Amino acid sequence: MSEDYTRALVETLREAFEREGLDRWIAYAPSRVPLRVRPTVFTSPDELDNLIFNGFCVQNLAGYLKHHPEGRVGVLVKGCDRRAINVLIQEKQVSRENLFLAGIPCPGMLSRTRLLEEFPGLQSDQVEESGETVTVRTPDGPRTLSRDDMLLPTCRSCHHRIPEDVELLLGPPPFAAPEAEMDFSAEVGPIGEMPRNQRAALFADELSRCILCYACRNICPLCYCDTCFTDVNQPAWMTPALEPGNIFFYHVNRMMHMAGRCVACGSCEWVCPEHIPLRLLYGKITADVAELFSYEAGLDATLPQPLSHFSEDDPDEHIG
Amino acid sequence: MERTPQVAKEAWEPRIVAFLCRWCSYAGADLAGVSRLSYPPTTRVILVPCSSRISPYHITKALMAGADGVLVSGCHPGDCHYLTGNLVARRKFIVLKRLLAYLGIEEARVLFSWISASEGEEFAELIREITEKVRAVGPFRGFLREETRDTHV
Ligand code: SF4
Ligand code: SF4
Ligand code: FES
Repeated sequence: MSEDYTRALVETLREAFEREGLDRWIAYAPSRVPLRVRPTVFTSPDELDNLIFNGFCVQNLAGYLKHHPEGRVGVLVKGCDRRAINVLIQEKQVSRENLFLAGIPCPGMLSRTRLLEEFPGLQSDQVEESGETVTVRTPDGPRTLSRDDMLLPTCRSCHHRIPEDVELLLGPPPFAAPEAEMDFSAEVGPIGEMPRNQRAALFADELSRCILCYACRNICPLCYCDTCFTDVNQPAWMTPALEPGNIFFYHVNRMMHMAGRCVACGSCEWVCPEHIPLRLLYGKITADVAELFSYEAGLDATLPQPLSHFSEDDPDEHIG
Repeated sequence: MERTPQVAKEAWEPRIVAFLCRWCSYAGADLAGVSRLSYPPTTRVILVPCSSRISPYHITKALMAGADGVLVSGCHPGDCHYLTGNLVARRKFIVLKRLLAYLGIEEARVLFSWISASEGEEFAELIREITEKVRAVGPFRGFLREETRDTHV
């Protein structure tokens, strides 16, 4: 069933590639790493045979636009890729006219970590997605899991799965989790209500595992500065030495840079080698921006961003 | 870069880095000085062009480098020399303040205020007030060091 879907998808995209005279198509191809796919820039319609779409297509593809500014580019977008592109348009990093977007109603991505915990050594070809289930072929026979249970944490609270304002809206994949019921602030709220000490201990615990590899920054579709504040040396704000000060400085300032921009695609948390629950950090910023300025990132490319903007009657409870 | 306070609790005095905008708050501090108002010698003033010059970098860096508290002060809304600098700063600061509190930094360590050039007495009072606030939460022992906090108060 999902092979048919992929074949139809390839044909649709190939047709659009030729018809629109695109220079490139950004989508996913299979990877040799288990339970991963490879974000790929396809440069000719023939290469599309290799295209794949499944529950492991987590990495946000908007990130590949920032490195390929010229030409007319097609992108296969899920809800979060589309929203990240809106942010890039707001920031004049890409122009809408150069893009041909094929939107895919997102089925919700799967947590590689959870699957590997449950089935150590699992390979991609042992996983079969269909309807609301994921079936894993194990040596002791198949095991069927609910897709909802295996979702990536960030996808559990996503309410923007269907990409808007696209040139081509594709049919939904034959596998999908039910629409999310949780809100992104469901996890952040309770932490905010914990006693300060416990909160501090929680983040000290989680963040002290950080090895400052900057993978979360590198994968983020919205981090594109030529010189990141982590790397400037006049003045050097921080160093890559693994000290709590540097780690804290990095995260706080990166979070501030994401305020009103983060589209909660989950790529950063997904890539973190230390399994740091970064959604708890970016979710906080997103919740505050929503509460204070009634703004959600990536929904409308024509709006100004909340932190480069102001209103006369902004909250001033913090001014002593 | 982390500071290990060597001083005994009794001898400890808060160290507060105060970023004051050139057009209002710095002049307010100056007025407090020429009016010979007394306030605790806990602040290290850094002159900046406008409150909007201050980014989260400066605030977190000051804490990282050993400050116990940070104050950012600028002109009242409507009075900014650059018209709207302080209004943009106001948005940035509320997000930062909430974020730091969420991560477990005591709220009293990061303070914002508006002080005009004629508010010498208000400036002196502000410093008295924030000195007590920071004193109440004690020395800052560095980020992500929960085990060492709260043992001193
Ligand atoms: S900060 Fe993380 S969740 Fe937010 S847009 Fe960047 S990669 Fe995605
Ligand atoms: S990916 Fe994880 S370990 Fe690497 S810098 Fe980001 S939070 Fe730290
Ligand atoms: S000049 Fe004082 S806040 Fe802008």
